[in-house]
Amino acid sequence: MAQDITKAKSYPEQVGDITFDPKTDRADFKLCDGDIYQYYGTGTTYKGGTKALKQYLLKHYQYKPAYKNITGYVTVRFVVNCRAQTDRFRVLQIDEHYQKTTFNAGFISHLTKLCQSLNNWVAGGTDQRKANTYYYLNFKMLRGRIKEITP
Amino acid sequence: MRYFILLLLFCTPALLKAQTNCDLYTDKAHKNACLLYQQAIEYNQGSRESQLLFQRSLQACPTFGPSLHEMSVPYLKQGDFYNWKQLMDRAVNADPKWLADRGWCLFKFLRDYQNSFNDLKRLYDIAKGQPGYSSDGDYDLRIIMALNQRYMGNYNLSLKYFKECIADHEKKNWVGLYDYLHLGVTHLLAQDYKGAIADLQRETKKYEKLADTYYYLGLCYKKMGQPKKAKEQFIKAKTLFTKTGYHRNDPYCEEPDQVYLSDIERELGKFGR
Repeated sequence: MAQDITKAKSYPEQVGDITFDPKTDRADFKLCDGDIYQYYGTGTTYKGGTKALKQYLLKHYQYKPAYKNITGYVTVRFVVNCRAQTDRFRVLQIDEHYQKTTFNAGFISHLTKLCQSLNNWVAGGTDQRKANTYYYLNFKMLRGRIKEITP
Repeated sequence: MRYFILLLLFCTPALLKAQTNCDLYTDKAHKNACLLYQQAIEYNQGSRESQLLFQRSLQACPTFGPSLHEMSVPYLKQGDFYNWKQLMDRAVNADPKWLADRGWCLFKFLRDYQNSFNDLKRLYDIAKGQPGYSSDGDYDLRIIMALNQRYMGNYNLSLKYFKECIADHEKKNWVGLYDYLHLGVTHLLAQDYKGAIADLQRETKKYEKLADTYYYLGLCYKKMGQPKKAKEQFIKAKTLFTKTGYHRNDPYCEEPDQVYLSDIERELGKFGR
């Protein structure tokens, strides 16, 4: 049965908030003072822009025959702290009809590790004060191949 | 374009006020939903307070489009496309005018060219060929239909929508800021280099300092075997990109036909020192 967000019993302080989970998140990942903003409000980016980010991901993505039935979208959402380090990775998966699904676990692990290995982030904010921000990478998948990466 | 912007500046507050004038609703359910919507948009987008008020608005009237749409936006921006789509589907079912926003976002955020085109074509048919503008105001949605077809490899159909839209705008003397650029790149992809150059030169008249256009002009001359002219265009693109001009950039997503400095430098590097 499809989840209806308009009938939710509660909402996070802000849509998309990621709270610390000791089971999955690094205890040594530190946020700087202040809130966690959205990437588009602070200008958080990757060295060389989206083009460099995509080139890296496409170069290191390794297709396997076990992925051949994977068609849909995978969003990997995470935090870039003010020191341009990343953690708190969360994964959302939907099929080509925008319904929730669960793809091959090895594929999701591979994609998540790829995102975790990106290490040329440029923290947003001002020169005087860099900010913590949320960022996401959305992978459009067709039969196990990456067709598009946004934003 | 200047007149268009002025027109928008003068008209927008009136339009917004008209859109949220809850007294226009004669039935209690819509009026209550509207009043709660108005309270919700006073809070930060995506905040708990605002989402709870949208929830109450939709309890009052489950098909109230403005609340469905506004409640969906933070999910879109934060990459939760499941919840965004669920809400926008309900908005579209309530009123097909929301096809404009759903179709535009399917293009911009999801690169779902087929479903974006389907939405915009449905709206195009309903609106007798005038589907309106993208929510950021940059594009007549016929240009997005054309881009969708281009990204699906259907250059002829893409050019049909480009030409129809641009001819319409030329008559009204308000061609979109990037329309000739995208038309030119489409001609370039279709290997009509002379056609592409004509379009891109028109773009330089429209937006003289846009670096991206000169990069594509350089590619056209290169394809036509005119390296000297190509190099001149790449040098101009680099100067505009790094010093005196502008380049395509958007805080949310990579733009269609966006050029990076590394693209320009790679082409210049091929000429040697």
